[in-house]
Amino acid sequence: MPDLIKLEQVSFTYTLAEPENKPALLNISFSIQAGESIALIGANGSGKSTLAKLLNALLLPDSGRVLVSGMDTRERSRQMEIRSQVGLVFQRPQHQIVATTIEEEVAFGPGNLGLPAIEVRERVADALQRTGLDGYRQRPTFQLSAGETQRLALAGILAMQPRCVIFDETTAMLDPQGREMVLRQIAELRKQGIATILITHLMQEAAQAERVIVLFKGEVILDDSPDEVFSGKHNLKALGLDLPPLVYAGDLLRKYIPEIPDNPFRINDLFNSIPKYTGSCSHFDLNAQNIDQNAETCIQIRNLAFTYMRGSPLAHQALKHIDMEVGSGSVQGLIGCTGSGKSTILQHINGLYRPQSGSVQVGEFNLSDKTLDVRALRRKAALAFQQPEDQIFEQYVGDEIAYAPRRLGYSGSLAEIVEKSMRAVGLDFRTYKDRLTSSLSGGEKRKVALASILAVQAEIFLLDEPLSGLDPQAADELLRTLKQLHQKGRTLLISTHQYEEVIPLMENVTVIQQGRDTLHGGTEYIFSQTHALEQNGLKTPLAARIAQQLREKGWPIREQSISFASLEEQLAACPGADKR
Amino acid sequence: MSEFEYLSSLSLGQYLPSGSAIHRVNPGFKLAGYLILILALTLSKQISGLSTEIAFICILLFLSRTPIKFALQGLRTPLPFILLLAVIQLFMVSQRGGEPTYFEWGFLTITRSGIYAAGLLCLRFIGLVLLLTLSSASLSTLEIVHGLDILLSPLSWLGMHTSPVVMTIQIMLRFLPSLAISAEKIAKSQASRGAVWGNRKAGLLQKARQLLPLLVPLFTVSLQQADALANAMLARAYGLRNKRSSLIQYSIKWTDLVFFVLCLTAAFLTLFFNGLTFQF
Repeated sequence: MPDLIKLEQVSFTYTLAEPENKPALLNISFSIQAGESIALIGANGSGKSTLAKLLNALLLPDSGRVLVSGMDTRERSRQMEIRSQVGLVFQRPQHQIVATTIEEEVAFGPGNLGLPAIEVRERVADALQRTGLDGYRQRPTFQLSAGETQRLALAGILAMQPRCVIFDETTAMLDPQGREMVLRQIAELRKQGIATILITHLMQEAAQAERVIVLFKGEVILDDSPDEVFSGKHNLKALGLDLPPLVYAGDLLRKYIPEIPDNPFRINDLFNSIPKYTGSCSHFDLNAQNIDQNAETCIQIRNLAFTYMRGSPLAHQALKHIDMEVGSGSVQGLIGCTGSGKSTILQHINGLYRPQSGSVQVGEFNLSDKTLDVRALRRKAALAFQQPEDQIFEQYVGDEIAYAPRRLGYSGSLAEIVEKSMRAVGLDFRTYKDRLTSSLSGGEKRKVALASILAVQAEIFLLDEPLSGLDPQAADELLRTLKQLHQKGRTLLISTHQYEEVIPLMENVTVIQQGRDTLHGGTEYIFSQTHALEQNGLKTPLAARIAQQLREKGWPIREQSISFASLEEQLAACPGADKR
Repeated sequence: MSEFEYLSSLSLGQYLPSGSAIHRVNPGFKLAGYLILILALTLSKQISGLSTEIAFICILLFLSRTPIKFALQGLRTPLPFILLLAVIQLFMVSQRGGEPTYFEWGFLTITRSGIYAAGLLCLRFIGLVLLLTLSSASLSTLEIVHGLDILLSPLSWLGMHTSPVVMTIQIMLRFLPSLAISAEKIAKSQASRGAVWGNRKAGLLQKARQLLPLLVPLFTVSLQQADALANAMLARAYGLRNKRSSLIQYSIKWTDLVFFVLCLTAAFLTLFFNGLTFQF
């Protein structure tokens, strides 16, 4: 059988974007068979997206050839066939929608192929059914949730009846459930014999594929099975990558439990390999730990409800009943699925919305007060939005950071505040203060956006999804900055669905589901509530799931073990764990 | 309502899917009928003609099962401006030779042509508001796109490619809500960093100055979105054929023709019917 896709010595250079004309891809050769499932990984700027566009004839190689079912992508007359065979789903699904209704959106691709109306209708019906959207044909596309938009983007591709679907960092902006949905879609496509290529930053997702291709600076460094790529033989850190958390967990456990296999890529492989405990240790549980009642509260929300566009046909109740408290100087997590109401709560605390019913008290400020000094409130509680890099509006970095203190007032010298804020996020004052904001890279913009919030000199920082879209290195830097803020006695309220990284920082957690607060408690308590978390549509942290498995097999592990550090400590401390 | 809910103040009108006979008219004919009515309303100089058309629009509103209350709500906001303009017309229209003057105070005079002009203006505006309510209630954005496609299709016989024009309009309609959402995000982020938003006492100049920092990031975000959309469209084989096929194919029914002929008749009467002459 001929190769589905074949690349022969493909090189590509962006002429406009790169002043030094560094090739984005260099001498790439490989082939893809029908029905294969591939993960394409590599650090930022390694050429993954460029490669995806070459496979779909959106870009044409400078040298070498790309063949799709034997058709050269450079032959214009074949491009329509090539684009219908190789579908591309991009990062932000909401930016891929062309039409105003779901049905028309799915019909866009087949319409471009010039198919007869009856076939267009059949394909639309089929694609909607396969993505579970057939009940919503006439819904306006802008009213869809993130998950539905993602499904719609895939439906639009499936209607082209592709032989290969490329997911270009489709999972990066989704919550854990959304990511799982994409992985399920991939598994489903695989069953139907459609080849898939998943471009991802998450090693755990890459490990699910049959084959992993690693790009580094435009070249294919590794092209092998996940077993081989993640075997530990290759220095992935040097390539800007990492081991999947499961492999990491396996390596850690193997020190104490030799039965753990070498590369556990599926969580069940790991769980099944844990033997029954035969040692003599017995475990002891801590008392269920709750929020420290003695701490002074600085945010108090009672009975809060809120409806967007109240009184219009688009009305949507975001908050139904919220009760929560945040202690002064504490770090509190606000977790829940996309659309559960986390952002709406944060925007209430910042005074962007006023309570429609119930009350919000922030320090001395009562948000229902008609004479509320909103600026004083915003100086006390600063809010960092999601993807704040999209909201930079000043021309120079220095002005952007000075924006808030200029308007909200400040103590001391403005230049000093700007300098301090920049230093806190790792930006050099002299190098960056006069840089044009438009010339910054994505990561630098995120830092500027964060510095401009730090410059408020607030007592309370409200952070909305601060980690989303950050690569592992940038996320580490951000967490360090947040830790410093906490040590200086600031209160942090962090809304996030990437909570696994923030767990070491958080003291208390509030879980929100569909506009209601469903769980409160200390971080260890909350994240060991496997069942309750799942009911809230959340995933239990990996370490907690492993701890639970160990406990079920009789291992002396405390109930509230939610980090690998604590697991290792307990396994090491327990005599007999390694000499059963 | 919050000061930041831009989406709800986006008054592109409200589509009311009542499934009435008017809703079922072929979008091409519907769009053409409404356009002719708008043209007639704008050009007519006859009070009786304008009244006829308003009556016709009211019948259409009834047939389309649009609540009259809903249509009148649309009148409420512009009403003071209409009245103000009418008053200016009333006093300012210059006297024609031999016309009686009903009222005179300094330079302010009320003449017959003044009353006539003011009446015309009021009727014209009321008619336009009612017609816009009717068209937005009975034409979805999708139908506007299809309607345009149908209306422009004769141009393709002359060898012109009309589908890119229609596609552009479709994308514009689809982008308006997302533009409102982006603007809302940016305004919020500025407000939370101390910008003064929604200050009713702010002067016009101050309001304009508040808008400026909103526009810059809005442009950037829109360009990024446009770029992403262009890629997504190309990836789905857009632009490789001159003729796209579509999901829905409309046929021409006799009701479409009746609707169109009625609109034409109403427009004709609006322009030329002068049955009632006003005697003062």
